[in-house]
Amino acid sequence: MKNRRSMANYKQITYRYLKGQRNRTLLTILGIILSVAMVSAIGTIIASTREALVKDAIRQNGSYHAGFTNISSETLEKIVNHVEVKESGASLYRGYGIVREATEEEKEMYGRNFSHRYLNIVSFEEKALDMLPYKIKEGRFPNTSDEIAIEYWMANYFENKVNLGDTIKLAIGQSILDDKGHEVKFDERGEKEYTVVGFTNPGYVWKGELITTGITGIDEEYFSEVGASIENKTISEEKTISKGKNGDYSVYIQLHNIKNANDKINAIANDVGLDSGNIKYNNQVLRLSAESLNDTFNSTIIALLLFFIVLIVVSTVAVIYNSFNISVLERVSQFGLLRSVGATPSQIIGIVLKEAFILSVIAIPIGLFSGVLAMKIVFYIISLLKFEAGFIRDMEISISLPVFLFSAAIGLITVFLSAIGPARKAGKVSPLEAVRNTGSLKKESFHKIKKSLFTFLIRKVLGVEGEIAFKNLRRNRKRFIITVFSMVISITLFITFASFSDFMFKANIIDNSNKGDYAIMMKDPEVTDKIYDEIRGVNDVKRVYKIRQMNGEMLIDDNKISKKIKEMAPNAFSTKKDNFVVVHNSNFMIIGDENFEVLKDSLITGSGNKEDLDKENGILVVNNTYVNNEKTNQYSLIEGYHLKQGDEIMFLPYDNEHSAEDENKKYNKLKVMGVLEKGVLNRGYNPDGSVIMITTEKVFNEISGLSHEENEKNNNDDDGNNGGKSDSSTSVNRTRIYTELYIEMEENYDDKDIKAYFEEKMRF
Amino acid sequence: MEIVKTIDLCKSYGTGNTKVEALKNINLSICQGEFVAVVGASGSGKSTLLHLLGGVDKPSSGKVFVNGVDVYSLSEKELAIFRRRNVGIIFQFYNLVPVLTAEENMLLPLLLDSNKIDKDRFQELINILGLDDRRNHLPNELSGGQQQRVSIGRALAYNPSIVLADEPTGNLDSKNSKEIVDLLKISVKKYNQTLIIITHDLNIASQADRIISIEDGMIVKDEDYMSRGEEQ
Repeated sequence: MKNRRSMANYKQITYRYLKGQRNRTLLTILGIILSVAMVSAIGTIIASTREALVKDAIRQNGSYHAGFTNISSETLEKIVNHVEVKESGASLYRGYGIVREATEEEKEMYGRNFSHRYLNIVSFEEKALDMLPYKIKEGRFPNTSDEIAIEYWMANYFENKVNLGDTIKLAIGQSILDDKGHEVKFDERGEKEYTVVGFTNPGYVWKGELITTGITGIDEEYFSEVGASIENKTISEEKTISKGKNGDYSVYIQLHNIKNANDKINAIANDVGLDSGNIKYNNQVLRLSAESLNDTFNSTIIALLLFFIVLIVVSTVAVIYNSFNISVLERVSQFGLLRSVGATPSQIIGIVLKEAFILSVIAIPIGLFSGVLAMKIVFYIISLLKFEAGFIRDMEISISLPVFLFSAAIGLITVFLSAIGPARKAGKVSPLEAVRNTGSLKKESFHKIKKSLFTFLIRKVLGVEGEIAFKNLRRNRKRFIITVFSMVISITLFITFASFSDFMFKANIIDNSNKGDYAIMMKDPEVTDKIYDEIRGVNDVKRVYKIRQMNGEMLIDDNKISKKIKEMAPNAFSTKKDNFVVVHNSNFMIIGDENFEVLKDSLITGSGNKEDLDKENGILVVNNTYVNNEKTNQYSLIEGYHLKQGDEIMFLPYDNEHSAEDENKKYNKLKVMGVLEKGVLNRGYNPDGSVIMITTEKVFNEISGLSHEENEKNNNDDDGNNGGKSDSSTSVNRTRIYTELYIEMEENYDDKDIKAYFEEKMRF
Repeated sequence: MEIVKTIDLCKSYGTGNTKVEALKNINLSICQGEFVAVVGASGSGKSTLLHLLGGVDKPSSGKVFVNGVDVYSLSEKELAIFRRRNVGIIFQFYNLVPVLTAEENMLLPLLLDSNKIDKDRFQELINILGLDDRRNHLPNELSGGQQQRVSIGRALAYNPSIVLADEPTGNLDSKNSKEIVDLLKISVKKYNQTLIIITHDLNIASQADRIISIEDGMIVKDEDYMSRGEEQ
């Protein structure tokens, strides 16, 4: 039973002390675990968020760093062999393949005049496909130039529905375009048979899209053959479709090191003699994977996180310091004894620090993993909630080495900071303490408490017990301060975390749930209006927002612009016109007249009455806006304007058809009927330092010219040749106005009916 | 051979009105191998003297030489090492480290030096002290007499040149007291060490070679029984 292992070194005395004071040891370990766990949790969430953002960006944009497009085979070879290039995958443009003729309806929907639905046929190397965001839905990617993969929904558009394994014969050639992007003619250059081996799943399906990608393979010997020959140009002129001409190649690359990627990519382009027009940067991925923390998260969040870490460190120091301090005080006589038998001060300090170190070694790993575990639990709970943001949905809490090293370092520093004071104190213990104290009694400096009104009150209120308690507290001021400090710190921690999580909830969850459960984006106003009316009648649909928006410039009085926004963005307000200031990028929009009731909550002044707005060209404005500070480059939400009920605004929508100096451009007079705190959905505030104006459908249609066009159309229908007579200079090309429908469902909705509606109407 | 020497050694506590002079101009010389008993009333300054000789306390003025070394000219670290290697101290309340076993307590000075332990010598010591079957016990598992024997073991483990004992039997019954003093006498004789012992017990004092009486911080009597015995 009494078989204790004997010591080989004095430092092992540390273990014995730790064992001897089990409760204190456990408390200290718990303190360290908590602090390391908090730091590692914060670090893990940062690392995981970044990873998720990068993953999301790669899924949407592909993993390549840059692409060089429209290059010759010689340039291609140079790029592939460039020292900076780690991976590369080439592609070769083959031309357009005809699916079938486009209907008038389709042409109008697409907005550009194309005679056919085309497959944009491109040969890809396998490596290129790996780096690009193409995804196979069914089948596989092609291996040879005789095989093809098309977007799955295109299968229905061929004369006969195409199935996997079918052979299709395509007329292949070039579409010749005019300078506005309309097709002048299709220059057919040959025919080719392809075996359909795969259906791809594009990022989104818009049935108005006339040109979709057809992926084919590359024959192995093909590249080397072409790479050596310059005459390909003439060959391709001779309607040979199987060989590319110079300028039809593209190559997608990954660099060895993503640091300074843009410089390296430009250097590669420079080396092979390409200009910036040939470079396609994968900006999202480059930015996310190479940038520092500072760029991913805005500086406010970084500052907040740093503040948390400091708070955590300080509170942990307070707790652990206390624990070490007490344990040193308890052992003053023992340290005195060690000193009297010949321990040097640094040996004593070593004993205490080693205690701290052992505790750290036990506690830090536990803390690291419990931090990750805690985050996993948090994210599991979040996953139970409905979360819209894509990157949070596929966020994986993973163990990150840098985070672990950082948290462990923070933990060690924390413990060291807590222990060094008491350790020094222990080192200063005089050997005489061994004799002075015969064991348990420890000496502290006591203060005499003077009698005062306060002590009198304490006695009156709390009785004798209270007085004794108070005197006990006052006796050792330092310990009293430390105790109070620990309590203050823990309360601060609690409040900070509580309000932070509150803030996160407000910032993320609520904001994201505000985008509705389904969203539809369409061009044709009449069709959208019809769908809007229909969807509102579908079962379990709670509300449908109809967002239709025009951006434009407005003229307002200088005194309607807040000083603050002028300070932050002085250049934005430099243009004047007839004593008014020109404010750009204002959003003029409708939200669907049936939804005006939701604005009531955020209405500050005025009335949100639809009829009043209809009568007076009325608008409701949002004065608050996001502004980018031109000096600090910080983005913040401020009150940018002082527009009031009754103010008048001159508004002119942007229009590509008219040049900016067009004499004919005519401003529309709008009247402010009310001021809103914020707008609806994710359009709460203007993102460009300007104003949001919400109006009724009637006013919007008049300003935008949509109603004129409708009339015109009707007139045309009536007598056939009344077109072009309209004098509406504000008329905006209707194809430029999109309408977005955001569908909000009832809680616990059944998606059967709405899905059936989509199936029927959208033919997805 | 002179092993301990003090020159005008003074020690006072406090300042001004509350100043207490614990030791006044002590000049003392002790030879190697001597067994010296220091006697005196409580508060006479005998413990202070012992602490100053052992390099535990700091004198207000004056010097202490041990083995020819000016003890208080050493740095804090050197002083600690000096204590470790040259002085063995035995306290009235044993003052053992509660978390260490008897054996570890005894070996503490050697462990602090990271020295290799001379196992034969240590076994001999543990046999003399009669602690062979108690070596793996913690202090709270030992009787008072056993604990004091452990502390004697600790004092002797490094084979110091002087052994200082501050009322080593003050807490023990007469049987244990006698044993402890006998042990001390045997071991210092065996290793040719100098033993300076503070005691109230006249029986113990009478066994010493020399009795120094202290009163109010001054040596009032210094009787050398060895030389007296020679005279007789």
